[in-house]
This record gives sequence, structure tokens and C-alpha cells, in this order.
Amino acid sequence: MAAYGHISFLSSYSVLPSFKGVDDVLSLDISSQEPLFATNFHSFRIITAYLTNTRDHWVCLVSPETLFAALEVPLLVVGDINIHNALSDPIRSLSPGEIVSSTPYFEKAAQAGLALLNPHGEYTRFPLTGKARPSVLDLSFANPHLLPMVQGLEVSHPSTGFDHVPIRINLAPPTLIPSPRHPRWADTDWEPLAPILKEFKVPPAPSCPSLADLDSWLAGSLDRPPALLKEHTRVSRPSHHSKPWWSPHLTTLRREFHTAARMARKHGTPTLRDVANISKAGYFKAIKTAKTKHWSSFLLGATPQSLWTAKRFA
Amino acid sequence: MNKVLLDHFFPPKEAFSPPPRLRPYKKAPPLTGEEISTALSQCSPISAPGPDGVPNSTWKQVNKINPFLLLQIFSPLVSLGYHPAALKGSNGIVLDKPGKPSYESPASFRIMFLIHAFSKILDRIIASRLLLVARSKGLLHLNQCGSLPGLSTYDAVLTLCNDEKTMQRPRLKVSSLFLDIKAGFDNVDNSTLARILREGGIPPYLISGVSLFLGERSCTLVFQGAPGTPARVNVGAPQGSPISPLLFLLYVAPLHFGIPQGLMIS
Repeated sequence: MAAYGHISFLSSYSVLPSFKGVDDVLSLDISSQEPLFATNFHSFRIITAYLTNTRDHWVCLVSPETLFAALEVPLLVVGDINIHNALSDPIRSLSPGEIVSSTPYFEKAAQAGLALLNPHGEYTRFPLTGKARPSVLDLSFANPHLLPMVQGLEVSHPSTGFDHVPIRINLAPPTLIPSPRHPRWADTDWEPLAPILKEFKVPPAPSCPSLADLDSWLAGSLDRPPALLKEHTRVSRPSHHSKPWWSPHLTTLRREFHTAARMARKHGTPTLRDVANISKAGYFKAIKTAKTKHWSSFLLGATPQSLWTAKRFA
Repeated sequence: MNKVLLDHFFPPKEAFSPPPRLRPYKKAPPLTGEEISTALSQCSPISAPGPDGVPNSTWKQVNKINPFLLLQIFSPLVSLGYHPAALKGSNGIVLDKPGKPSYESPASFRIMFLIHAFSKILDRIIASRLLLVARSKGLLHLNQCGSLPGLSTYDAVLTLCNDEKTMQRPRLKVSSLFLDIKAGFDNVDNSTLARILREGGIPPYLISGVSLFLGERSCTLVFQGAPGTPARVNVGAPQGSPISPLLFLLYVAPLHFGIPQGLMIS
């Protein structure tokens, strides 16, 4: 197993192997004196895993615990460990053996908070012989610290002649775009608005108008009532403080949960129901963990003056 | 992708040319407050709002406060047989049809239009008047059950079963032929529909309102990565408008009436 880095990259970052004595795993710690991806992190870890050929069978001897650890630095786990799961390949008909071999890896990844980056069902291996079917074999996982930096995973690059397609994972500083403001129609202030609406007079329409005359009359008559309504309706102010515990990781888990639940509802097989249950448990557990973590950090930073604020929230 | 979807769902057609000057139709019955209240009561309060963003529930409240406001705006439109250009814009939400093996063709998607709530109220008023006249003139075939008040697919199935059993009783051989009109709403032609309505004796103010409603519409497709620019649409009845199902029924009614006597199709 080998890793290649561009010379310009290596002149700016230090790359050190972090695993020793484990076969089929290459782990690299990439560090920099400058903060990475506009965050407070100065290093991140990439783990890549592969298979061992034992008696003409390719098997993964790397344990889930080795691959998926809960780290306090950004972590990217990639590799072909020959596992098939409904979360990565929803339309594949899975054998019991495939389920048994893949479930521990996906469960451990969920427990450690790692999310699958592969787009559901996008094949990464196209067998050259034509006997076997295409599959989603090359999996990529990111932990919550790295997930905001993941801009996408592309598998649409030209083939290199190998049966696995090239994969590009784009990492960049996260961009936080607040949701657009929209009127909260349930909170329209009718009290001051009602007298204005009662007094509102529509100017008389022209008798034999041209289309332009009629449209200009309508523009005056049609635009004013919605404008009045919007003036007297509160606007939602979505901000990053409204749910400070929410993270892109939770967004990914929510998407996975809804995809798995939809598949389970549609096909109703026991396997898909199990996958949906695992996704559901992982998603809600992650919400609970995120809330607890946020509350703990709030309490840690609390001052004697903010005691009553904390009590109000408790 | 935006262009492929637009070309598929709205193939280029000759633009509709409205009259240069409008005159009030003297035979058009004056609009009443009850008609507006009835139309509003049929509007779902949780229906997705159109481009203006104002939901039906808010317009219901406005009508309670000042019942003359909507009446004063809609009355000239009904008497002139006009559908304003300002209300013909819509957002077209692109939805994928479930269960398709591939989503590489635009035929694997359907478009749902989000129309101005204001336009929907006007459409309901015109639809209720048009339905009344169409039924009185016998423009709708008895076998047409969909999208009509008091009738449903359940009635169509019951009629089919009844007809089959009636014919099976004297040991006659019965066969059923089911037809599906592909992209029905999207292919309603404005000039053909106007001709059908004219030949059916529909009042001119309603024909004018329908023609102006269908002609020169604009649609902004909404999907991830869409350019967000409105495109001209000159074909089809917009799915999402309350009047579109009735217009489609009137459009295909000649097919039902064209079946030779002695051959029954349910």
C-alpha cells in the first residue's frame, strides 16, 4: 500500500504515518502550522483500508474498531473492504452473508459518529469480465469534525482501465448560508391591519381598456393588498443561533435515515427494516448527543450571572 | 437540463394573440360576494402558496374583513373575460415519477405548478361557472367521472362493473379496453379547446377568460441547479390550477361522444 502527495503539498504540510503493526491499513496524520479549512484544527487524519487475499478470497481483516474511532480531529476513512450494505447500495439484493459481514462496520461507524459520503447507489466498481454486477465497494466515511468541509464526492471521472473508478473527494472551508427570510403568516398582526383593509378602495377599472391599461390598473390593485399583508406580518429570522447544536453531520444522518425509512416502507423486507431501524437509532442518538454536548459546553462557560439563565433553560 | 425539461413538457407552439382592446361582455352575469366566498371556502388553507407567497388562509381572513376588496378586483376581470398576465407566472416544481428504472429522460419527471393564490380564487370562480354551463349544454359525457363534484373514480369503477355484469347475464361476451392519454394536461391546445367551447355554446366571456388563462403563461422551473429564469409557455393546462381538470375533461369529451352507438366504453 502506498500514498502519493504532490511536492507542493508536502512542502506546506507534514505527513506522518500514525498506525504501526496493523496490516492492510494506511493511516496518515496531515498537519500544518496554519489552521486547516478555516477551523481551529491544525491536523486531520486519513485512514485507508484494503483487503487480504486468503485462499483465493479477498477478505477484510481490519476490525471495525480499528477503522472507526471517535477522534477529536477531522477523520476521513476510505477504502475497499469488500462490504455491501443497503445504506450504500439500496437497490442491491443482499445475501445474508453480505449483511452479516457489513453490519458491524456500519454500526461501528454510526456509533463513532461517522457518516457515509458515497451518494446512494452510485457504483464505484464495474467488473471488466462482465460476469459480475457493478457495485458500490469503495466507501468513504467522515467524522463530524470533517463533514462540514466535505463539498462532495465525485465518481464520474474517466476510467483508468482498472475495474474501480477514480474517486475525488473535495474538501473546502464550510460556507454557512442562512436560510432566506419568509413571512410567518400565522403571526399576521390583524389588529392594526383590519382598519386599513376596511378602508382600502380599489380604483375603478377602465371601461374599454387596452391590455396595457388593464394590466397597469391591475398592477396597482393587485400589488397593494399583498404588500400591506407583508408589512404587517412578522418575518422569520433564521440564524445560526436558532439551533446551535445542529451540524452538517446531523443533516447527513437525517438524509440517510429518511432514505432508509423510505426504502423500508417501499419494499418492506426485514433487511431494509433493520437498516432503517439502525439509521433511525443513529440519527436520534446523534441529536441527543449533540444537544447534551451543547448544553455541557454552555454550562462550562456559565458565569455566576448566568445562573438564572441556565435554570430557565434547564 | 432546464431547456430539455422545458422542451419536453412545453413544446414550442404558436403564441396566442390576445385582442388589442377588451370590451365588457354584456351577457356576463355580475360577480357576487357569495361566489367569492364559495371559491375561498374550497381553497385549502395548507395549500402551497405561489410566487407571491401569500397563502389561501390569509386571503380568507382578508375577505372576512373587507368582502368588497376581492369583489372589486375580480368583477372587471370576469365581465371583460380577462386573465391578467401578472397572475400567469408560476413556479414549476420538478418531481420524479416513482418506480422509473432510469431518470435520464425528462419523461421520468412530472411538473407541479405553484400558482398565485389570487389566481386560484379567480380560476375557481370561472371553473364553477363553466361547469354549470357545460353540464346544462350537455358538453360532458355521462362516463366522465374524474374531477367533477359528486363523482369520482369509485363511480366509474362501479359503472364499469355494473355494465359488465348486465351484459354477462344474457351470456354475452364482454371485453374492456383501457386507454391512457399520455401527458394529457401538458398537451391541451388552446385554439382547439376554444373551438370546442365555441361549438358547445359556451358564453364568449368564459371562452375569452379560458383562452387568456392558457395563453402566454410563464413558468420558472424549480430544481437543484435550475437557472431560475421564467420561460414562455403556450401549451398545456397547468397542473395545480383548479380549472385545469375541467378544461381537460371538456377537451377530451369529443372522444367519448365520438364512440359509435352500440359500443359502450366505461
